Amino acid sequence: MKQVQRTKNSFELAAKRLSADVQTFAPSSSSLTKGETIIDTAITYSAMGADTLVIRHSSSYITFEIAKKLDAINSKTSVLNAGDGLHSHPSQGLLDIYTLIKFFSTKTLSPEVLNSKKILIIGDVNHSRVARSNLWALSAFGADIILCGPKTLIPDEFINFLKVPGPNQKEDPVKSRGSITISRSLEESIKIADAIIVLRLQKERMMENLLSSIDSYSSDYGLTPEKLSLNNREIPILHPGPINRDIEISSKVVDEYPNCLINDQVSNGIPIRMALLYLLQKYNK
Amino acid sequence: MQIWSHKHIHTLANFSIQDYESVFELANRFDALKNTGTKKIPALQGTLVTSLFFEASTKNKK
Repeated sequence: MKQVQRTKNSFELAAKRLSADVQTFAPSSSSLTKGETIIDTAITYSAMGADTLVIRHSSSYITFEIAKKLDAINSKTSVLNAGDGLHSHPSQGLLDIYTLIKFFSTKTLSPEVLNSKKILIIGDVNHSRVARSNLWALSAFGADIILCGPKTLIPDEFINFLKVPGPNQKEDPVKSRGSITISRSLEESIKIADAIIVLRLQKERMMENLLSSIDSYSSDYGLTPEKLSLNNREIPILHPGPINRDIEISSKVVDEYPNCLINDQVSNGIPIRMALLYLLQKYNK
Repeated sequence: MQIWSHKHIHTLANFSIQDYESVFELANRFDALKNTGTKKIPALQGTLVTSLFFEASTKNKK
């Protein structure tokens, strides 16, 4: 299933669990094909009475633009970013960190369990809005993040990612954050990791000459049981999906590793998205 | 639970610790509902959630 469909279904299910009415916009059959802008489309659905617009778009920062236009016409509609270009995927970042907190917490849910944990993120960070959201979320609770992959997919500049303020942000609302380091060796990184997030490899990167071959990427950075055994604990493994079996992650890890939490992530996506939809309505009241 | 101060949600870069905790606390409560056999609650009854998904594939474009 395409990732866009998974996220859409997850949001729609979350809304239905809260007894909200749900409306779905279908781009191929819409006025967009007649040249209507995305912003006009959003305004139209706001005028129809949408309390929340859950928006996924290929342009980074588009939800800021849409929200600004809606606010300018005194609309009460809230905008919830479901993934915008390379920028952000807030609900995925939240469900990932929630999954890890649940894993590490003993009796009650305790976000502080992430403090000083080493979270290894493997793969195409540069093209991943999920990874960017993970960086903000994990570091907020004091986790130290290790980014592991080739330079073409994780440029050295990522080490300063948290030092650049977010859009429309004057100062960081979190006073003290965990660190980011970069490693080019998966074997060395796995040895010290407390958890791993594997990112999907998009095969288009080969066409862009960012990778010499899928096989060589898989050999160097694919997660296998053998590489996992370098860590003497059964650390949790996450992946935002959809997975490329036996490219970035081996089927044996997905199907047999006891702490592969991919299905937990999917399950946790529903209550996280319910929480976001509910909180936005609390604001509007 | 802290007062929620975001009309829109664009990025986690703008989330305070209290924002995260509000989300997790609520998510945990919603999560616990499945143990009671409750599939649906009327919390957002009468409201409309519209999904506008413009992106057709998993390929992220710049």
